[in-house]
Amino acid sequence: MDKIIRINMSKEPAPEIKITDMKGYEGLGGRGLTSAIVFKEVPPLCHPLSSENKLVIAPGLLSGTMAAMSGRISVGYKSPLTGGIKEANAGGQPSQMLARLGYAAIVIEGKLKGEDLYRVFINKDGVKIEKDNSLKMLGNYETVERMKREYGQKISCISIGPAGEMRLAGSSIACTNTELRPTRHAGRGGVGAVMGSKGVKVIVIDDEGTNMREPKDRERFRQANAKFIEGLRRHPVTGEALPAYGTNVLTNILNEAGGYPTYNFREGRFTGAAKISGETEAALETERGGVATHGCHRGCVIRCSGIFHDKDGRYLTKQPEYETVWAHGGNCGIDDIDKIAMLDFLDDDIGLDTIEMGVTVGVAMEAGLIKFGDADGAIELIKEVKKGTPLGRIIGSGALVTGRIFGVDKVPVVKGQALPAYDPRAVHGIGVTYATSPMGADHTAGYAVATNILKVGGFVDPLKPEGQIELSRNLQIATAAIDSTGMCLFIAFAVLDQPETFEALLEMLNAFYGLKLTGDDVVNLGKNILTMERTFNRLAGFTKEQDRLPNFFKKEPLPPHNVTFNVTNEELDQVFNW
Amino acid sequence: MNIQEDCAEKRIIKIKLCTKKDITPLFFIVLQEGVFVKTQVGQSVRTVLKDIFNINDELIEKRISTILLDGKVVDDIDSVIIKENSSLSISGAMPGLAGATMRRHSKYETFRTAITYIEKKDPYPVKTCCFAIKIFNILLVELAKKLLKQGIILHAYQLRQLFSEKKDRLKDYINYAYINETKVKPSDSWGFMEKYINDDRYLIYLNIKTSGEEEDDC
Ligand code: SF4
Repeated sequence: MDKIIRINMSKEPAPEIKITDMKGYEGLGGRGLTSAIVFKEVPPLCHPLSSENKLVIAPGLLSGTMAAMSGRISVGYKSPLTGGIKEANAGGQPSQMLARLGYAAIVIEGKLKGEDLYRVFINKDGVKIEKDNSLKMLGNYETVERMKREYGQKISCISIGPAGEMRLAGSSIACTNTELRPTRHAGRGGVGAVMGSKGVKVIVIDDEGTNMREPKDRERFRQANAKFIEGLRRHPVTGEALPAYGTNVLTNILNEAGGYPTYNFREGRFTGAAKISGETEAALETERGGVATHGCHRGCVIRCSGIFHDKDGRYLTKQPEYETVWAHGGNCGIDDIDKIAMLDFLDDDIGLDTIEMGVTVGVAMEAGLIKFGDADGAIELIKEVKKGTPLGRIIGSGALVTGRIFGVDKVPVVKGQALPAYDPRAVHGIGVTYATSPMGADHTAGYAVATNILKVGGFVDPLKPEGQIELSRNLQIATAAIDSTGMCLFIAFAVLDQPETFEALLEMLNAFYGLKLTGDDVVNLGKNILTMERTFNRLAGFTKEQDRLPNFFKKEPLPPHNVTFNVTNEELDQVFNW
Repeated sequence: MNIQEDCAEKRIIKIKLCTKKDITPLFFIVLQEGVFVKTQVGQSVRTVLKDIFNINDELIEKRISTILLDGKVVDDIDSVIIKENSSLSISGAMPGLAGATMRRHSKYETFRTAITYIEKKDPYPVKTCCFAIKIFNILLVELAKKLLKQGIILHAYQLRQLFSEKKDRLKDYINYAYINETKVKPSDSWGFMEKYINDDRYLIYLNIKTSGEEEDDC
């Protein structure tokens, strides 16, 4: 994995492909590499849809190897939604395949003149780019079907739907899963719009004729991987709860704790929660002949995903995740899991971020466009996006734009990006991360590894709880580092509780690359990434005033516990003081 | 409806089902929504959990990692007391930072101090009454059967909703039923049950045992 594909869309008469080495980016992967390239090569003040922006797609450091869970792909760019630097992250097959072909990144730069649409094909013989206007405005599912007909069943695809082509700020990039369905999305920040602005509809990857990437020390790597897998299987979250119910197992407990944002963040509890919980969803999937335990890429041993069938037992979509079920469900007062699954399918097909769309529909409900609980109305609103009507374009542009246009004062966004499924009034610490992450409101930004294992910022007494500012900082550092490895963040649950599982992860990196990384090196990597991202944002015009939650979180008490977000601005400003 | 008054017998219909196979999963939805149990309150969370599920400390420590009382996270299960009208929720290990934050004695407990349960110091009398319980996650598989064997109390409408969706399957599974202590033939049991579950005035005390798994006559 020592080459970078650079596709310059500005070149005439046709886009130009160059294969370059890693000079200046040696040793980086995943989010570390995407943020470094954006930081060094994208002018912070450029328009996100202009020729100066770049779309960087990078497998992680361990992608394409035997390492379990290593199939996440990072997509970096300047975001049309937040105006800052962004990394969106997805599962599926493309990361493993790209890495096996030896590519550390694809960088799409420049901008086409005109409205043509291109497809890119990558295999062991090289990279091709071809004009293909027959793909215009196709959904992700149909796009992938056509690629299958043309290139066979052993490919993977990275594509955009109509939302990306229309350059809407709520658009996503789809990656195909093990069944070649476009269900795994780099969702956040309007990433699809940047790919659309470059005029690239789909990247097809075929890794036939390639092998697993070889570690420097094979035996050591094999042993570390076995230990890592054993740790994941042993842990009750990664070995039991996630495989059985997926992330949506969180619905009941968040709801019970009064931290489940309901009716556009008016309340912290939803009466229909049990009807849309992970437990109910998994039982229904099994009953209808779907699958309740499924991996989004080969090599995933947690398998938090599933396959959702409709009432007639036909495939409808992948198992909607917690964030999706919440955004389209409780947040909009909808307790019909079949309708939520339909919304998930539409988002995936049109190429939309499910969190942004659920929150946007909630804002539209707040505006009175449709009523809370109106599932069919929500489905129609999302279909408007595909049609490209003025209303659809407003909805597809996200919660902030929709709120502005319809005069709503209660719009749950940070840096322009919709808040995920945890009300910061109930769980203040997560609010600290929402407010301060360079990514905008992002639930995965401070997700990862126990600070006691990494000893971020010196030794932390395991019996003494850290303050939420320090904790948020340390978690954000650790997450940035994990995002560089290609590992699914869900490993964090086992890694944070079991020091030996974290050691096994470190050992895999060391055995693969012949390194001697310590916990401190991992911390430094995370800090470097965050420093680059914060610096980019500062140069793009961000000040500390953007590191704030909307004011209503401080003023409007959240039932049932009637709590508010009480972390001061001064405290928030301490998060990145290291 | 005042749950404590109704729990004091007068509107409780007792239904005991003996089933041919384990039908516990059919009750997972109501167990997530919440049912009542009648027991001695005024005792610690640990004592009550042991009472109603008939489980030991090891299982509590290893499997019940998240406990909420009245929607607030309980860390110390020995000092927090279950009271009349309490609502207790229990769960196995939860994913995500939010999930980890909700755990008992979580390393991230500072993240959720706003919703951590603080026990008042006032003494609380021990007495027999009803409180609500909700079961989530893997504990549904592990503990629901034990609870149904001990008996749960639920609203007639809850059972009606459940039976209306699963009626056909349930009918086939019933070996026989006792309704208010009277044994009813399998062919008649459905009609008797419907009479009560269609009347919202009632609470149903439901007790389920599976044939071949019990020492008694089921
Ligand atoms: S745990 Fe879930 S999200 Fe992570 S790699 Fe596996 S299926 Fe994909």
